[in-house]
Amino acid sequence: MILLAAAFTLLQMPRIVEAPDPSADRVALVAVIPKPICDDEEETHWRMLAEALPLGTLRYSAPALRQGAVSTWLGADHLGVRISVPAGSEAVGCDMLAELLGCPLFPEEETKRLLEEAPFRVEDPWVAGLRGRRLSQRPLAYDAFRKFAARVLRPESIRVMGTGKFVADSLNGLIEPRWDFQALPTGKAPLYSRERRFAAPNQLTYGLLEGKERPASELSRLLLVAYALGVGKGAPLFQVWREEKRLSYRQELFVEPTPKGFRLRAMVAQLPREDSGELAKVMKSSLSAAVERLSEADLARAKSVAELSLELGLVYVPLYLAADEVLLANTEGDAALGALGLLKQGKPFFRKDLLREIRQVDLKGLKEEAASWVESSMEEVRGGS
Amino acid sequence: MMLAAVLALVMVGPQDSPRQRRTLSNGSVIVVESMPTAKSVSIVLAAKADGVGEKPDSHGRRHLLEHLLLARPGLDAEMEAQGVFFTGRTYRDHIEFEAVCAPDKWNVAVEALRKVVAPLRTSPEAIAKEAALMREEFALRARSVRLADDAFRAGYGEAGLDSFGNLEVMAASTPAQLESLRETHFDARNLRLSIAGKVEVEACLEAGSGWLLEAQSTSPEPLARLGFEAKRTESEAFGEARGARTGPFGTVESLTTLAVGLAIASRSPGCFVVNTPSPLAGMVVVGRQDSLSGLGLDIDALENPRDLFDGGKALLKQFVARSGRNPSSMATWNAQLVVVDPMLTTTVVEERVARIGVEGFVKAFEGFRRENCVVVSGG
Repeated sequence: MILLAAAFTLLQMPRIVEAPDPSADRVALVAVIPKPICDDEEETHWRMLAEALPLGTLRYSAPALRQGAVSTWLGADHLGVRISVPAGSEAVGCDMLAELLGCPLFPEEETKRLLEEAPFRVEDPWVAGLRGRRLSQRPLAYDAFRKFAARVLRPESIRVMGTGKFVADSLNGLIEPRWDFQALPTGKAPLYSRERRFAAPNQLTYGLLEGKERPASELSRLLLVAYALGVGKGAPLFQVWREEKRLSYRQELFVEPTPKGFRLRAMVAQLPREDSGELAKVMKSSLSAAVERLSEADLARAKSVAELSLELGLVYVPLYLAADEVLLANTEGDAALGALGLLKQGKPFFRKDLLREIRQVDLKGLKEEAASWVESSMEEVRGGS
Repeated sequence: MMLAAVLALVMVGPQDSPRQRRTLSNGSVIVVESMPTAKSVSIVLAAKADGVGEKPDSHGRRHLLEHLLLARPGLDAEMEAQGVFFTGRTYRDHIEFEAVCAPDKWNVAVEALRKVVAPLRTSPEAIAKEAALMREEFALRARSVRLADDAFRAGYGEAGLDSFGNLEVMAASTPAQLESLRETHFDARNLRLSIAGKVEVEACLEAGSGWLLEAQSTSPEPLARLGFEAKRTESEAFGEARGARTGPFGTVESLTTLAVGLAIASRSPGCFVVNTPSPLAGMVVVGRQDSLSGLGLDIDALENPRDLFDGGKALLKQFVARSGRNPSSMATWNAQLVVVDPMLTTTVVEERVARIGVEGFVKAFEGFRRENCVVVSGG
């Protein structure tokens, strides 16, 4: 009976899915934790969790973790934890990850300070526009935060990917003896549902076009649309929204993860104008015309950009892990991309596969995909107008 | 033959590797870093601000120039289709343009950069449109940068004007003023060309030197930044910051101050550190842009800065090591080092980091105490 229980516990422990890359000089481990349904207070707990995790574990102090390469991000549907260590130090990386997820310390003084500060946080204007949801304005209790963390850090829901230079099939052997999840309440954390929206907390006006959720298998098609319309100064977002329409200084089109897949989302931010209320409509109509004009040259540019991005890592990948975290084509990015795949479809995404699929799309396919997104996207204007 | 001709024009001077870095006869500098395992190439053209330093009546014209130079009609789409991407950055003491590309396109990228910095033909209408857009840019400017700007200005007065600029001055600029500015900014003595990635060093040196040697010099007046006043200042940007004075980047003293700044920031999540390599007196700014959490009080209350020494030095070593992690960061880092001093290299910086000692660290920490630094409070 005891043996059975032990075996069951081991089965529940996260397994690292490995993708060794002998040409890398680092090892990256990324764990993704699905986001639960959150009310306002829990939403703040969720955000603070990303900051409280690196505050220390039983064996690693906060400075030790920060001086290593531990970082976290908050995606729309997940929390990401990334550890990046030089090749040869994967045992330390595995140990850190097991400690961070299994027995975070949440030191009382520092965590309470984070929770006290949370209601007074002022976000970066661009990030605030993308997140579109304010933190709780009420003080948060430390005990409630710990309970929330215990509800979320469930070994059975965590997905882990390892990339970089290491010996194949070695990582689980390193991490398994170290997994030691705290006694956690039973019960499964429900997955997050669509967020409610709140006014952006500053004086900017944000225009957004939000596409429908698409299955994980269509990620490459969504990325191609983002490359074609949004990445580079030769893309319509820059040429039309910025240079021609002068809507904003900054405009972005990107793919972001959702509970069951991905969606395309575009945003501009501008100082309030008399016609700001029409911002999203103008974005949509001008982009619709640009999609009509897409040519073979535009497709070639998009594929060239996709190659530079996914193959060479010269340009960012328009897949936002979080509002302030763009996927990069490097060892750490590969781990994050792989982990997202594990979360979405039970197997990792690889850059080379995405690029191969992108290369197969013709102009008709691109125009249909882009037009479908523009036409069906939800228009939204937020903030001061 | 061409190579021989170019090399004949190269001024023979002290250099740590003649295959990698050269100071040319007209005062410009080229540095090429071969990274055989890299998959890309980055080319950074940096221009020091000697002769064009920020002054109240021209404040921001350099930033406007950067925007207009990058807005060459059709160039972006043409280059992106060939796999070349541009960016531009304006700093207080230099401006830089970067092109990144696949290894087989480096010469295309060099040609494209030549087009970017070629004489500017613009119009009052184009200037007005760009200036309006820059008003939008200012609204999105990171608060960390604004807090650091305010610290710099408080500490150094007019010699510490920010690199963003005055929107009214920009809007009132004329095409002639901008072209005159471009000529001086891209004076030969101001130019630093840095190439890094999977490249053949000799070929890059030849092409890059040939380009740089086309530039003329009128010996622009070197920038100066003297005096520093510790004071308290208010910022319109939310957050808090402390700015400690440093000398030129790369000295043991300035690197020690940077190590202290990194150590302070590592004590609290959400802290930022701003420090741009400069040949002039500078500043290390540590702050928070998302909350007013008493960072300054923590600094003043810290009794034994020695406790931060190991962590701060380790973070600085990590920072220097990461500066050369990929072609883009390597080319940018090398360009900024030779902007500071044509003799400054990563090896020199690493040697100086190794010389940082506890006593110097403790002394540098004092530079962040309330009475010795610029205290910025915003919001």
